[in-house]
Amino acid sequence: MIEATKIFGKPLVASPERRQEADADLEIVRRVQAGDVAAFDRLIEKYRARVFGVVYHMTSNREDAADLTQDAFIKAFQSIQRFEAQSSFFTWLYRIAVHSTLSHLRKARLRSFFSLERIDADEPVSKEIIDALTDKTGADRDTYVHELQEKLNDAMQKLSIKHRTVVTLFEIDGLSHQEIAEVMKCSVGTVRSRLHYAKQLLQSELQPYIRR
Amino acid sequence: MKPDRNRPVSLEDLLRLKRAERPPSEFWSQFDRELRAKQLSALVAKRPWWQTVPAFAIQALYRLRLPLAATAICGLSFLALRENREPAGLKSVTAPADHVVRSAISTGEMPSPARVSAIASLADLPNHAVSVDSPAAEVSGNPTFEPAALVAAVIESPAADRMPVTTEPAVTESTGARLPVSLVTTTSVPSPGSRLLGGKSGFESRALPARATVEPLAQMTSPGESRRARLLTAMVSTASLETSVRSTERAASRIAEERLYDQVQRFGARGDRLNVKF
Repeated sequence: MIEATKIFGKPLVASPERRQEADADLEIVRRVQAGDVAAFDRLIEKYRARVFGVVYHMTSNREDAADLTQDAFIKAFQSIQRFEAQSSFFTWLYRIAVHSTLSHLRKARLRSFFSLERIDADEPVSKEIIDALTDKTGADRDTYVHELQEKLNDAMQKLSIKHRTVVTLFEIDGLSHQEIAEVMKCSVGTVRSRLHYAKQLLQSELQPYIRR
Repeated sequence: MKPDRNRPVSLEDLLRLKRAERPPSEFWSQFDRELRAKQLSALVAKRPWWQTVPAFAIQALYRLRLPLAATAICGLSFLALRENREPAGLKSVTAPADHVVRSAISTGEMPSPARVSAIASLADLPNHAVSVDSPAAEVSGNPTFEPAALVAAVIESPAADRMPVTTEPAVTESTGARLPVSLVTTTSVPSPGSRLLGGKSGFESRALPARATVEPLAQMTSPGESRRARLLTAMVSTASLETSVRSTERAASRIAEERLYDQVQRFGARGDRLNVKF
């Protein structure tokens, strides 16, 4: 049972939902460790979109993101016998994915090739934001959304890898500061500081789109 | 519903738009196929040994890293001390005089005529011991060169048995000849461990050997001794371990039997003297 996780000696109590989720994951992990390999598919199905999302927003490349996500799942599968439930499976998997991605980005620093997914403009939240930004309709609206997407991507790419990771995990994937600290193996203060700096830079880059 | 154009748009809203960047549903079917293939190949692929080490073993090693390191240091120190305490032993190598003379000759490296013209005075040599410092002595077991064996047989007179042969390099030939050595000592080479760990390498810890006062006259060598030393040193020092066998065979093949007979007649031993004619 995962009661709490520890960062730098301080126990961090997870939210009840997270704890429930972690317990369910742990049960599946125990089955996989006992030899039920097929049970790992449930974990893949559950987390593939989220892991892909994190890796994709870090790399801005669909193919790389797919490869890195697959590699993260393979590594997790290979090392699952060593998983001792000191953190939740979700955090452990994220850590594998993030570190693989960071390593990949460091290697491919000079090679920046972006292949972006299309923004689902019909989704309620994104539709509301786009409506607030423009009154264009039809093809003009699509062009505007595409430009906005490119601007967002450019601004993200101007951040350092670590700052980008923090922004991705916090703003896009919705992880807490503590969870990010655990995934990135740094202090919560470092996470907050990186987030603050990254937001400042993004704000200056995306000023034309921000409306107060 | 009319869009709200007056709604404020924050940075967080813009970043939330990125959440809506999602791959189409067909992407996931391909993703699953590729992942399945990778999973199968990972199952089949041989894993490196360090991944097969159980986690508890790694953790145990990690916990015991300090005691293990301390034990290793203690062990190394003990070995180094033991190595250092061993006396710098003197290794003695002795060989009968005639044996070495034969070996020196059997190498086929004949000395120059000027040196060989001198008749070696063998009677006044102090004892039987032979100093062996060069690898030339090791060729003594080579019986292939028959003319040289004949020469050695000539040399094998009662006086020759008492002949000390020094195989010191030519530079120190006179010194080597003067020394009435019964045993030749070769200082043992210090091991790398003792050199590294407190061997007596510093000048402050090295005791200087006491210099004996020598009479100037005692330093002078008699002409006979120096000649003998030159002759023997030239014969032995030119011998090389690597080339000895080949040169012996080459020389043996070149010398015809008649010529060999002539050459043998040039050597003669009378009393305690060895005559070589040219």
